[in-house]
Amino acid sequence: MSILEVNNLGKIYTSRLGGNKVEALKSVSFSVEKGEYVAIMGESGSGKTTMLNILAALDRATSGQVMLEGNEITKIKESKLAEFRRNKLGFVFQDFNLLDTFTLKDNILLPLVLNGKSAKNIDENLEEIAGKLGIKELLNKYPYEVSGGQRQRAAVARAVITDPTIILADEPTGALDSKSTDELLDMFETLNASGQTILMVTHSTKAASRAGRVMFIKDGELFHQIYRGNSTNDEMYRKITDSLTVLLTGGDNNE
Amino acid sequence: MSKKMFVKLAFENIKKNARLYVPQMIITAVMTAALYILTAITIDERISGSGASVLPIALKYANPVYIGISVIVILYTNSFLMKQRKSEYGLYNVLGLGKKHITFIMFFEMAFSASASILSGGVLGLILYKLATLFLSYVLRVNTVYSEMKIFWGMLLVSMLTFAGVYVFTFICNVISILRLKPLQLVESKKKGEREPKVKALLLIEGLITLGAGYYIALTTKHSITAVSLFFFAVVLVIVGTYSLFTAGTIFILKMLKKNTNFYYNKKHMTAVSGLLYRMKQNAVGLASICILSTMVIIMVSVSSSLFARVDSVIEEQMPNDMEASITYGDLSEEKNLEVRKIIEEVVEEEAKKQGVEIAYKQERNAYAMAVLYKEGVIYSDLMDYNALKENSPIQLFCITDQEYERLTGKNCKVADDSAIVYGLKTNNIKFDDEIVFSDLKLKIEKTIEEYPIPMEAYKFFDCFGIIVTQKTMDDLEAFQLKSTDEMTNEMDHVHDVVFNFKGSESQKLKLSQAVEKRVDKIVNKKAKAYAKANNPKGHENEISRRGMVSYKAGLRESLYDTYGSLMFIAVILGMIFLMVTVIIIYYKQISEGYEDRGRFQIMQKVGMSEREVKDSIKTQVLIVFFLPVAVAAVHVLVAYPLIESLLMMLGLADKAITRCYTVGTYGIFFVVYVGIYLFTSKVYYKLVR
Repeated sequence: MSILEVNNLGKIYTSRLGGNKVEALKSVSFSVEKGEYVAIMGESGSGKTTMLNILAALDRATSGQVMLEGNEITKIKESKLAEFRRNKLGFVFQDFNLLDTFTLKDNILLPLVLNGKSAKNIDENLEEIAGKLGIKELLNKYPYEVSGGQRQRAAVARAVITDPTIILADEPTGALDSKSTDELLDMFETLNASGQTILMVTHSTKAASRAGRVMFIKDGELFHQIYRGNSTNDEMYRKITDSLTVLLTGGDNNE
Repeated sequence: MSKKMFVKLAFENIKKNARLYVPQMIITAVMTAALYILTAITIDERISGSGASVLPIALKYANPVYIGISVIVILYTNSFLMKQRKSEYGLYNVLGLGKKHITFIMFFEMAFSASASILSGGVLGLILYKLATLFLSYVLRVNTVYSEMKIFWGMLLVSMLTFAGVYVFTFICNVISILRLKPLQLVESKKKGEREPKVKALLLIEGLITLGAGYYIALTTKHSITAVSLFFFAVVLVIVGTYSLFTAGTIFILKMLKKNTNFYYNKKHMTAVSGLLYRMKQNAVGLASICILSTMVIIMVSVSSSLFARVDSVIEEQMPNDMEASITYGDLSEEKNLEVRKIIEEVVEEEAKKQGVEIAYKQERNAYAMAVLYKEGVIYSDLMDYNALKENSPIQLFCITDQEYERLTGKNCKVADDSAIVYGLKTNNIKFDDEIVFSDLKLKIEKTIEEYPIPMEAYKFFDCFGIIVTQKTMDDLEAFQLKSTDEMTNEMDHVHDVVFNFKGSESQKLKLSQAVEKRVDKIVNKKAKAYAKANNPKGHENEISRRGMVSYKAGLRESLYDTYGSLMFIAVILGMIFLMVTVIIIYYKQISEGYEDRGRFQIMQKVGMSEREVKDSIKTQVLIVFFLPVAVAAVHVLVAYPLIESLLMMLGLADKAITRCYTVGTYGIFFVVYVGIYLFTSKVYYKLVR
């Protein structure tokens, strides 16, 4: 059963003076099954962040539709959007986006509090997740007091605490060192193994090689995709680099 | 590298950062102009020549305070500017400019902004000086016309150099702070993670104690004499307490709220509490300053305007007649006293004839005044020492005989020996039910009357009351007073007044009054001295010459307007400056928060708050931060009010209803202006956040 369906998604940016039109996305279609772990790869400017923003309902598409669990998110009312984002989506960003006025604990709890959960229920949930992510001891620290990897783990905790339909990750390893990157990717794998659907945008081959499926996007179009099948991480890695080579050289020939 | 490039860079930087520089330049210009006005007035002969004697003296005290506040304001705006610009300097450093080059740029920036603002401040001062003198001649009610433009170069130079000096000082501080930091530290100094504020327990306790003590003094001090010195002590305590509680107290309260999980983990409270916790740490001092400044402005303006508004009625109260001559030679016999009065009357009549002014009304009044001490229900003749005065009330007691009362009022008056008819025994501190108890005699209170023929307004400094008794009782009272061991009070003052009203124009009356005053000074007091010498060869001459007094309406008017007009003038000027300073502090506070909140605003939206929710949360925080100082200022004013009122009553000028009205009115106007500032600056703020 597909949880996310993207049909003919298009996005045109018009520069402020109305002169130049930039087509960031051209008729992109794909679907994501429940429990899938999908990576979207592409170079800077390929349109992958635009797409993620539209999926996150942070931006509006010019054409096409996005269905999440059968509901069309482009039709959700402005007033319901925040609630939708809170309940159905979990976000992990490259620059963590933790509030420096909150402790890690409060950062993680914010979505639950916004949902109007009582203090008691909140704590039980938190214990479990913090334990899983190995940040139990850091809960009362502030974001600027812990390392980047720890910050990102807190951000992941914040993303999963509402038990979202899908996690959207935007370059989650972009600001991390290799050790923290490995830890984060392990964490994603564990989450995915327990049934969590994840959609990750990245240009790190290493990160993408851990996903179940990798989609390549170029100049606003879905270019190619590969499935893991029974490949190991290393084989997957090789497949991706091959595809990237084709992607780059093939792109040149096309022009 | 060429100097020319630095100059250009510095100029461009100011232009680019106009949002930061312009307010500082405006306030500097205004403060320079005000300093010029306030100092030039002290040496302008046209003003001292017109009889204004209080203003120059008052300004001598006010000016250093004013300069002190201006220095603090410049330092404050500078620290804010530096905070915003450090990362820019860091970037220059990273791009390859040495610290020396950055110092050059900073120097030119300072030179541009300081010289532009100080010079325009000087020009503004010259222009506004004329306006200030016009306003001054209005509040002092003098007719001097300041038509020609006069420039006091010395004071202009002093004012401009004062602020130039402050800028040089800030420049040196800035250079030192830049030299100390490494390039990357500079670049990141704005982003530096702030630690969560700790509750400073000591500061909290100290703040509670000082504010509590200040409030306690303000609320419990009853006796007017000690009130003055205590008032200033209380003011200092409250200022210290306000600063401590704004820094420590607010954080303590917010932390307590945060600890209460049921309260804290709530949609509406969570972001607000933690956001406030953050804001408070950065803004506590600024907010406390706004609170103190607001309190000062409100009290200063309401007090001086309520006094100023009452001057005309005070004149009527204190001197219902055109001229009063009072003769209180305590050490002369009563006959001699009366003789002196006769001479004054003759002088007045002669002068009136000479000037062609008709005497419309004349009345002689004879009364007795006793300075006594009230202690626990008993009146003593000894004032004792100062310590006794602190705890007990000194009283001015007026006595007239029943015959004199009948003569003055034309009403019948019956009073028995050892009894009294009483007027005005309704003060805070004295309480007698049906008899007045002296240490060795008692007077039965026969009845209470609402009017007394001898005016007491001028004695309001003390608790006063008046009695009407028989001649025999009067003699007993005199005997009582003579028992005092206190040299100052061991005699009863014979108050022999004569009051006149004239028919004629104001200027005629003034001329007549001045002529009389001169002659009385010369002739009458000389005569009195001679009498005194004959009577009491060792006599205290200085004491005597003071006591033959002619006072007249025009003179009283002049001296009252001199005093209260000056007060009003200073209050208005300083009030306006303080208000501007408040605006500037608020403006900078809003901008700095706008820059910081922008990031937070975006994150909150990303994690699932709607724009509406984020806006509401931020609005709540901004509102609390904004209106906390004025709310606390209102409490300060409210607590200080009884003490201020009693101080004013002591001056004998205030009217409770009017003072209340003006205080509420001043607060109202201030509040409206404050809301205006809020609306304007929050526009700037939301522009930054979006």
